[in-house]
Amino acid sequence: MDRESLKSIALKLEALDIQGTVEDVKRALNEKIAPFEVVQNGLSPGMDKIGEKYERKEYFLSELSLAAYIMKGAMELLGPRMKASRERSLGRFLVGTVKGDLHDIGKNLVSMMLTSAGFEVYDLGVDVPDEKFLQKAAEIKADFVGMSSLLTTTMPSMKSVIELLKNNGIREEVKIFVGGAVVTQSFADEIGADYYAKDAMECLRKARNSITKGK
Amino acid sequence: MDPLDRFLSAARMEEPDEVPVSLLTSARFFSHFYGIKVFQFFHDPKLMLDASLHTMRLFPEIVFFPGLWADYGIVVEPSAFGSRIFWPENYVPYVRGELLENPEDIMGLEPPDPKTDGLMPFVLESIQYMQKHAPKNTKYLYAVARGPFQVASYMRGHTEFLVDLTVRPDVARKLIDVCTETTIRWLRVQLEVIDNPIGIYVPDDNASFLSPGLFEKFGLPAYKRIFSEFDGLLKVYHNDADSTHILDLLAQCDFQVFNFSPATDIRTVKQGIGQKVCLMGNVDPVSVMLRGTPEKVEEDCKSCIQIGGPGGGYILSLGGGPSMETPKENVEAMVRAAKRYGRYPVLGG
Repeated sequence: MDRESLKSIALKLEALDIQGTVEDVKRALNEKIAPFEVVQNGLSPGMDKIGEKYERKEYFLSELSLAAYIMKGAMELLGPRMKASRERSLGRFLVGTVKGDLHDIGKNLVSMMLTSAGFEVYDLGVDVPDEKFLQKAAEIKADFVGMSSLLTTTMPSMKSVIELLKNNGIREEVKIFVGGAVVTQSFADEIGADYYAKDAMECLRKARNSITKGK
Repeated sequence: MDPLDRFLSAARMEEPDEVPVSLLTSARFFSHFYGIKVFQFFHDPKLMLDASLHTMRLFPEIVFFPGLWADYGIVVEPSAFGSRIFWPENYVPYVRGELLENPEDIMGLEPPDPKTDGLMPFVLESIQYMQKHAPKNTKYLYAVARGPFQVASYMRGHTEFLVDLTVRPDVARKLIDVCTETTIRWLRVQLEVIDNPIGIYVPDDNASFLSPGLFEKFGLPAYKRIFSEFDGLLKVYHNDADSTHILDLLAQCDFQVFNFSPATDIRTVKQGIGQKVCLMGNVDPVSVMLRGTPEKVEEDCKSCIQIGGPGGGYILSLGGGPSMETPKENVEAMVRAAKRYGRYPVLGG
């Protein structure tokens, strides 16, 4: 029975069925399926399919945004119940768009993909000062820090955040992800980030791999 | 042929003597080459004109499109509705926060009056200033207005607007209608003050965020409406997001020049919409023009010319505006590539 409920959630999310997904999540909770199971084995496989469709150009940003909207509805039901079982999350992932940069589409999609996969995501929003990354990473004991930038003029902040984390002794505690239209693998290497991701799907893939393989 | 004649010949789908080279007019790029902060460019129409002329003279073989342009970035139209504008010291202004956070606010929304609202009257002043003080051989040629999808996204929020298209289609349609009307009115008012306009320019990257189905439903009618209003003028459309999935629909939109992203494959574009519309692009403005060597720039330009150039109707350009710190040598490499590989007849590679 459990497996059927979860499979149905995945299928409905993949089909972008707004009402159906939320109803199925409610049903699963009524059936006493653990919230983390709902995320891990219901929403997450559904989001993976959506990601695959995006990469095959069957879905576009309009569909990813709709998926984010559905996920938000589902997480409103699940979130409060998941707080109690924090130790089962895949890790604490801090994300934000760096100082001076107000772009947020990619960063929001990263938040959504990670949340749906079972990461505990803390989204600092846009135009985030360097110190805010440091302060929040220390406060939540982040496992991952993800930074986004879409402007060549704001990219240098990624480096200064890494320096700041280093100077405050927590650089080695976190895995650092960078991304955004102007960011490249070579830039990520140059500033000492651990991972570059070209889009939200790649970020999720690399974050999952990093858990099993280490850095 | 002089560079502008060459550009206009390609825009008419002809083969000029050689492939024209064009870069988008950019406040950032012009400010950088003139040695001023971007904020100063906006602050003073004299500096705006001087910085523009200075950079145009540095690269005489390049047609800066749309030429003289009171380029305030994305903020002009949203400011006329009442959006909050953020002015960084050395970057283009930006819309901060979402004006239309509540969908209910959209149903009563009206298009602004371009003569009195937001930054529009200031842009009109800047146009008139530049027109009056520019040398005789440098005319103000185009009216420019952002397309409805970009304006709607900045006022409603990018993600929220995309969600509305499915969840609240009536609200989305209303917003698109108001923004479409704004684009048209704003272009018309500029055309009234420009002495001898030759065209209109409509940038609208956000349209490519829609699936083909949503674009057909919302985008196609809006674009057909805009472009059908300005017959007799050269109609240029810019979209530097990946547009591969809506190329066939864009081909029905009645514009004549398409400036497109490096993410959209030039071969696909040439074989499809490029049979009907002049192509302008699509060298990567960041990884090649900003960060590449002159050799890399020349190599990529050669490849674009060999695919886009045969048969004419092609302008060598970037898939987006030039970054402010683009090296001079890379701009010169672009010109060199057009001279070396762009003499007609251009053979396919």
